[in-house]
Amino acid sequence: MKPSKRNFQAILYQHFVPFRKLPFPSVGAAWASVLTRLQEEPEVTASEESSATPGRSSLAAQPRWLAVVAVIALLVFAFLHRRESASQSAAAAIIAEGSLRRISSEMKSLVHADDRLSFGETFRSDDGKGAMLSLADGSRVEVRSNSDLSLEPAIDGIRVRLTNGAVILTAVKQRSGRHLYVATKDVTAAVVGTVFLVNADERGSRVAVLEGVVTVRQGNKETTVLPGRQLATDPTLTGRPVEEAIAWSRQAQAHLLLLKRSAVALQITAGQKTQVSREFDVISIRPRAAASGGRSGILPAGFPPACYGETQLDPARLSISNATVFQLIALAYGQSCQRWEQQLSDSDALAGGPKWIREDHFDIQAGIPKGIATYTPAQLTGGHAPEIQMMLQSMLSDRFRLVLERRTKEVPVYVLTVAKGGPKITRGTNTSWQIRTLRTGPDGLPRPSGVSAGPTGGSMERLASSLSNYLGRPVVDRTGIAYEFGFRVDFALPDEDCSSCPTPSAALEDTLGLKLDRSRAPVEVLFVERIEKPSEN
Amino acid sequence: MSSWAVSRVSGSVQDLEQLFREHYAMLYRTAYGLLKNAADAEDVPQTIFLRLLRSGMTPDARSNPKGYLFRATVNLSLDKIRSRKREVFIGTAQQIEIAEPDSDTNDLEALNLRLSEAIAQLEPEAAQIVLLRYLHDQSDADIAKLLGTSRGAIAMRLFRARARLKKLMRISGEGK
Repeated sequence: MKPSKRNFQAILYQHFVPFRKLPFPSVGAAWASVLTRLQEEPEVTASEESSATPGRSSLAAQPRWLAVVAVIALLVFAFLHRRESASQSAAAAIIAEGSLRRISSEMKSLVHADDRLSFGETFRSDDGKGAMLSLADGSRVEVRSNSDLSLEPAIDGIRVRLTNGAVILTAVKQRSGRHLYVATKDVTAAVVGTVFLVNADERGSRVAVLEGVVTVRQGNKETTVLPGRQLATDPTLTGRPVEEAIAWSRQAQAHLLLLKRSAVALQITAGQKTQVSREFDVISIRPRAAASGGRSGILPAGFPPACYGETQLDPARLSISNATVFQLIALAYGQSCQRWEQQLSDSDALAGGPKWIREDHFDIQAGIPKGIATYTPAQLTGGHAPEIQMMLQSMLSDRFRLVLERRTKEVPVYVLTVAKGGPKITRGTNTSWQIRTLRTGPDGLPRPSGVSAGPTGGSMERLASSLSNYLGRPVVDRTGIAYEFGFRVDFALPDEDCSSCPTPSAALEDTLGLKLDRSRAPVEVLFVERIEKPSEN
Repeated sequence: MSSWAVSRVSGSVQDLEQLFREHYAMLYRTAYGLLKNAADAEDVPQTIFLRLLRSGMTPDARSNPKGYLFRATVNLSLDKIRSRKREVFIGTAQQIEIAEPDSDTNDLEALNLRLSEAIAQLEPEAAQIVLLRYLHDQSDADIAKLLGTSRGAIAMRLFRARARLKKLMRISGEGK
């Protein structure tokens, strides 16, 4: 074949035809492989890493001596960094973003991203700049500019001492008996897992809760502050709305959404119609004749695929095609539809309502009014598009007559108890943990298909939480084991066809001396109190 | 991995998983279109996200994740091709034997082989544009938006990329 000027473009198009609609492997399995590699593969060197970085692909063409110099520089840096790390082994946090100035020691040095903060040192955020700290348990402390704080070890956790300024804490759920504290001159706020703001200045302190519950102690008085509420030790501190008080945050939009959601939750509980500040300009809701499509491989076998609507979003229009109401509610309330299904569909994270909310599909076209911030589809599906989410909530309320309520419901669970013969675990300081799922490899032997792991924090709570994610229903710990311990468990998930792999219950009994049984227990769920097929356009 | 690295990473894992799920099909097909090999095509997006999990999102990746991921996929795929020399263009020994065509079908396969080799020799930026146009069927405007440049620049680079491909394939004519 002699290609000519005339048909060269056709040749190019034809060349790629086989790849245009190429079926792709299971996304879930591919992501599991990424996580497995994260745990099992050594990190590549910086020079290898940069080769695929967009815009730097010509690095390989640089003179060889540059690479040699780079390697020497890296080795020197690694050596110095190693020494520094060793000297700061008792670090309390690292700086994830921004910088702070160390003001307690004689060296008023700046500490930057990835630097470690030690207990007892006092830090100040510079004028106009804040910082984000990451604590060892994964909790995050966002520090406003011009704030002074230090970190202190507490008997049952960590204490952030705020002498001036403001912080927003996103506390991960603490292990049993553990707390995260923020102490100012006149109050101490204690949490086990929540998001809240603390302001401190010469007048006093204010604690505002965005999500979860915070216990605030002032002298001998203890007060529980609910989400969407605040407590101040001086009345003048509450003059400024919380919305304004969190505007400095890097995650102000997400926090605002939490705040609004808390307000909505209170209204839902009170049985009131959801009040929203924004609505779509025009909404078209068209039912589909029958369910079609579905992304095979994303959901585990046996789970109803209710999350495969396609979302398109531009500044003027939101388009969701082939969506179930289940998916719309997840979008509106900032939840991951797939995660709801994968982790909790057996337990009905969204309970009540007719069967059609998971089975009937709709095409939604909605006009976005001017003045709304521009979001990407990823921000919406990730729960970071508060204004669009509020408009979706409004749409569900108006067109589907949706009324949601938080309820406690008895659902199927797994219960962990100690097996006959006692637990085969050892309390220890090395509490690294690992759970691997197995599948049959090409050679017929079991091979890992996914992994959850951590270098610290092995405990019953961690084990139960991870098992819950894998098994798709809550796992209740009734072992009475309160101490930390390291563990490694390998098993095949129930829907995996792997005859030579252990089941979860067999693996837990053999490896850890624990029994896993099916049972029922009460958990909090979102309950669909009322819903109707959508009204005519 | 140290506990610090784990804690630093944990905050963004969900966001990255979301991005992975959203763009996996495009990245896989892009890598496959260049590498012609399923195992390598699976490896490329995984490797990119592995690096993002370890080192976090750069400002570039945050502001334009789809563009960043696409460019990274093309760059990494080209690196793989170049590191494997000629072997990467041919999946099996059986296909190597098609090098001497004696029919229209084999002519076409030989042409595709030459085109694959030529694309692998393009500059990454040119390969990105060629793939977006001819694999993903994107307009100049869409390509410009994804790669953060102007339509005019895309049209010019596409013209030059075609001319370069023809030159590499020893085909006469302009780059149309």
